[in-house]
Amino acid sequence: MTTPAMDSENKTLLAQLDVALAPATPPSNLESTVLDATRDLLPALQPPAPVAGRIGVSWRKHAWAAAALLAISSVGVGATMSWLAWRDTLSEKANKTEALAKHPHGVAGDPHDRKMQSVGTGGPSASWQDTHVLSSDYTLIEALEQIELCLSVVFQPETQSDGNVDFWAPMSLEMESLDHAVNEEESWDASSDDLWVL
Amino acid sequence: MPNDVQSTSCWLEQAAAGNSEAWKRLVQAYSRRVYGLLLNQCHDPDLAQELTQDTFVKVVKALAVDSKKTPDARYREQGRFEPWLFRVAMNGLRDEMRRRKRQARPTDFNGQNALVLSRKTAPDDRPGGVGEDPAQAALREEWLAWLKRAVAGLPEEDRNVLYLRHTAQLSFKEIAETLDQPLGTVLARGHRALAKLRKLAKAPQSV
Repeated sequence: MTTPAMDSENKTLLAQLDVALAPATPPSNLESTVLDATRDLLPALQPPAPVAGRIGVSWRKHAWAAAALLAISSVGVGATMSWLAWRDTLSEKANKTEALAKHPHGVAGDPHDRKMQSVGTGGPSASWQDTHVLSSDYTLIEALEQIELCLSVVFQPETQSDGNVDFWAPMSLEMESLDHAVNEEESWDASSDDLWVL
Repeated sequence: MPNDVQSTSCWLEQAAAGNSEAWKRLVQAYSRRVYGLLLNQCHDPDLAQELTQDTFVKVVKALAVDSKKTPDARYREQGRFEPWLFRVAMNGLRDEMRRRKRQARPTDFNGQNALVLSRKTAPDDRPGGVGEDPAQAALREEWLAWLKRAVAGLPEEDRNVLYLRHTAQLSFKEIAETLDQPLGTVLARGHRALAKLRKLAKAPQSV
């Protein structure tokens, strides 16, 4: 344990050591001999980089940056175009699938469908135009079928006692014009093809 | 002597880039301390000067090698130049001592006789003034000479701490880096060295 007296002794001793062990005065030629010995070993002074060199480095960096940007842009544009093309193809396929689904008869065995197939390319890689034609035809067919269905409901055939077939429209439709037309056509002959031609 | 670590770092960086003026400033700042450290240990002015020169040759070679390895990354000084410099100097001295198979400890050391003188006439720690008594000044010089020899008689581990502290003027942290030892060990050795010196000064046989 250090006592105050020892502290004082230590301080005195340390001060005396500072004096006793102080660096001795070196020979007057010490620095010159050291510098002479190391002069040839000192690294060659490196001149500052020339301005042109720095510009060259800068231009190379800019060129690399521009090339990288161009590559990224190209990839981006290509990806976008591919995505758009894929989306169009997918849309076409969806339209075609929807159109086929709406037509319950299927493709095989139906003259209409075979005809429609002959209109388009018939394959899964059908173009937009083929699909457009198919859609138009299906729309027309659907309209005709709906009309036929309505007519069969409105003008329900009824065989009379005399063997003739009359047509009447159910009152529930509440279509005056239609009733009027039916009343006017009450005398139509069921054998006549006029109605069915419609 | 550099004002602070920053100026040393600046000079080192410029010297590593080939600035001879910066290198000259480094030599002026440290050569005296390196020489003093070596002289205190070897007691041979010629050998101390030769080893000082060798020390700075090794330093400049290290700077040159570093500069060649990484031309764009100059010498990276991290505030540890002084410990490294004095470690180079002490290692050079140790290698030279081994080569010459000669002990750095002086052979004419007679602590007891010097201690008798010191115990009777030990001056205070105040530096001598202009009007100091010549007799008192002579006693003071004798005391300092005895103290110097007493330090030289200490074990190598202890006296190295004192030399690095009072001659090279390093902090204990820098001494720890120089000797590659823990700070606590260095502090303990410094304290032990002072205790031994006090014990020598109060030894009964020296009365």
